Amino acid sequence: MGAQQSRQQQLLAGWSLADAAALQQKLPGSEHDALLQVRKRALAAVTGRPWPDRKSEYWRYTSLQALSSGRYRPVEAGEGPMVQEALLADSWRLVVVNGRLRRDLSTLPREKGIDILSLSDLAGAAPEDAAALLGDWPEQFDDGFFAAFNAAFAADGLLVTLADGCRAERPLEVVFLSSGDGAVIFPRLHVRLGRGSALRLIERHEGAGRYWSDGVASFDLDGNARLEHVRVLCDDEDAVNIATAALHIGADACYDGFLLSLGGMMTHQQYKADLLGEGGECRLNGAYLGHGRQHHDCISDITHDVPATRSHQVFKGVLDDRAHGVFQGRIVVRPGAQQTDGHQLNKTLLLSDRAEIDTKPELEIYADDVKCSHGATAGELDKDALFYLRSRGLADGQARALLINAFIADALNEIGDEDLRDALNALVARALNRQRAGGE
Amino acid sequence: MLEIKDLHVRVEGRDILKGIDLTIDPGQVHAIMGPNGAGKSTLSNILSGREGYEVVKGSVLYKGQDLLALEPDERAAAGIFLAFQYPVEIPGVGAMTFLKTALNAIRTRRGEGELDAMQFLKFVREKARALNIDDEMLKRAVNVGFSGGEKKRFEILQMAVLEPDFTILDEIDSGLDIDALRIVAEGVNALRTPQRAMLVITHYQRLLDYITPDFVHVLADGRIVRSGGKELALELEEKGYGEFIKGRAA
Repeated sequence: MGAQQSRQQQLLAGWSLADAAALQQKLPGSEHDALLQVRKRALAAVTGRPWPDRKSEYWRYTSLQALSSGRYRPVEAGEGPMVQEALLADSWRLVVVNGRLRRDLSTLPREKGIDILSLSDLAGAAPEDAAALLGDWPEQFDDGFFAAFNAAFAADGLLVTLADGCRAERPLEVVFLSSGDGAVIFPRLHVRLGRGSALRLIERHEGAGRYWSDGVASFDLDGNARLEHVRVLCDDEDAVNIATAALHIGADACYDGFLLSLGGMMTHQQYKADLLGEGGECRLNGAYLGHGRQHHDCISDITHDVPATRSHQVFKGVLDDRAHGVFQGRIVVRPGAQQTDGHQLNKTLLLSDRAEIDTKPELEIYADDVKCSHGATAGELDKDALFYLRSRGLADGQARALLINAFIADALNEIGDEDLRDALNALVARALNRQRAGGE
Repeated sequence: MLEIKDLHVRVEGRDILKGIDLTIDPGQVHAIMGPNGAGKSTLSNILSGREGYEVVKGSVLYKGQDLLALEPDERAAAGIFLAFQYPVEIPGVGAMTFLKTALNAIRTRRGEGELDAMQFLKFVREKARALNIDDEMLKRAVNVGFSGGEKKRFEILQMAVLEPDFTILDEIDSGLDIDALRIVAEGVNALRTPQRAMLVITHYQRLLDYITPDFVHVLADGRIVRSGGKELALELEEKGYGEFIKGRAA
């Protein structure tokens, strides 16, 4: 009862509701009542209720104990930048430090039809729009607890809009840099693609310190739009990255996403996709590499709302030491959504006896003319393949590396864009090298 | 080149090889024939260094060094090659990448330096053509989707590329039709030199029509029960293995 009592008074350990309310007043845009009201509503949504726990559907395999009892505080202003090299040389670049867009570090797109706004820009120009954007948090997961938490304290955010028919020539790279011991950071990214527009988007998360990033993202694809979106998590190994993404995919539109989870002590990534127009397609693939005591949790929830839509998921992971992976994939086919094509595959390579994977596929089908499948495997490196390679002169480490790379390449090959695929391949190869060096 | 002395090997608690003595000199081709379960594959596995085999007694010297103390990749670098009875499929690893990685690994260990991409391509293409292997096949993943004949030809291509001093052919004829067998045998014969030696393991005499051995040994129940020239193979073909097994049991 004592804990429940204190939870009523404290949002974070040692951080009271009064502190939270005071912070909200100081956030950019809070001078506009519309924005402040949304923030208050979001705060109300997370107070007086317990955090999600292992009884919650999407936190069954991931403990929040370290976050709820550790000392964490929202950061009030961005700290010094740690700008990383761009993944692709020719990309437009937005750098967000501790949740705030830094124009001085960014190279904003100069292409007709691409519009970049920060939430603070929007708050000045159109506070009602800013309030609407902030207030539209996805509630599908854990009643939107962490999404509301973000809405309550996000100081800034990004809104990327492509006009109808705009096909961006260069990729857009958004780098979220986070830092600070015990800092809670609230990245927000909203992408809206007009009819027939196309964008290649790289989203990178990097940082230093024991921070906790609580992100929200939304991707709205109008008819015939195409979004290639790679999300690369390279957070500090003491950091936590929790994120919720909502996808709305229109008729004949294609979302082609890839989640690469490399860094972080704990990552928990939730994707909620709705296929809302006929001919729409959702490709959500990913790879996770874990070592030490890393914990990677990927959750997808894809709903086929109308007939003739497709979804495709391939998630592959390599887990070493005591790393723990989770993949929960749900496919829902609504009544009447005939000719749905939904496929899901999760494969994990376990390199140590103490590495662990929990995989939970879920199909809910309420139409009869559909093609849906799911599969999951977990296993060790193929000993026969290893011997075959070694008998041809490859040293043990070299043979293992070749097999591990081949295993992961299978997922990376799902990335259609060659430049993006090469960039991610290089990141994975580097991470595997580091992992090997560390393990030996 | 190879000297096996009183070799006893146990697999999962069962005695499989029960005292093998065999000496192979440079330039020689030895054939080991025998019925199923005689220990033929155990012999090839123990020579190539596969895990799970316990040497209870005896020794194997290769070019004067203790072969059994070497790791599989060290054996490959020392010039030993096993053509697998069941080549392993490796999804995701391209055949060309595999060949190049293997060749350069061995060249590096021998201090010969790596071949660059162009040199390598030229080198492999010539060898592949001789074995009727087209570029399309080499674009696929190692052994994935290969027919039985393609797998065996790919084994011989690896042998041709790696140019081993001592080759073990483990039932290279299984699953091959007569045309494929001829191509494979030609590939093997092309590598016969006075410096190289081979151990040909087979169940059937047919292979030895194409790869002519200098010596034939009959392996039954873990022992070499008879040795002779190539004519021994013909005798076996005529009489079958029954007599040898019976003879040993009596």
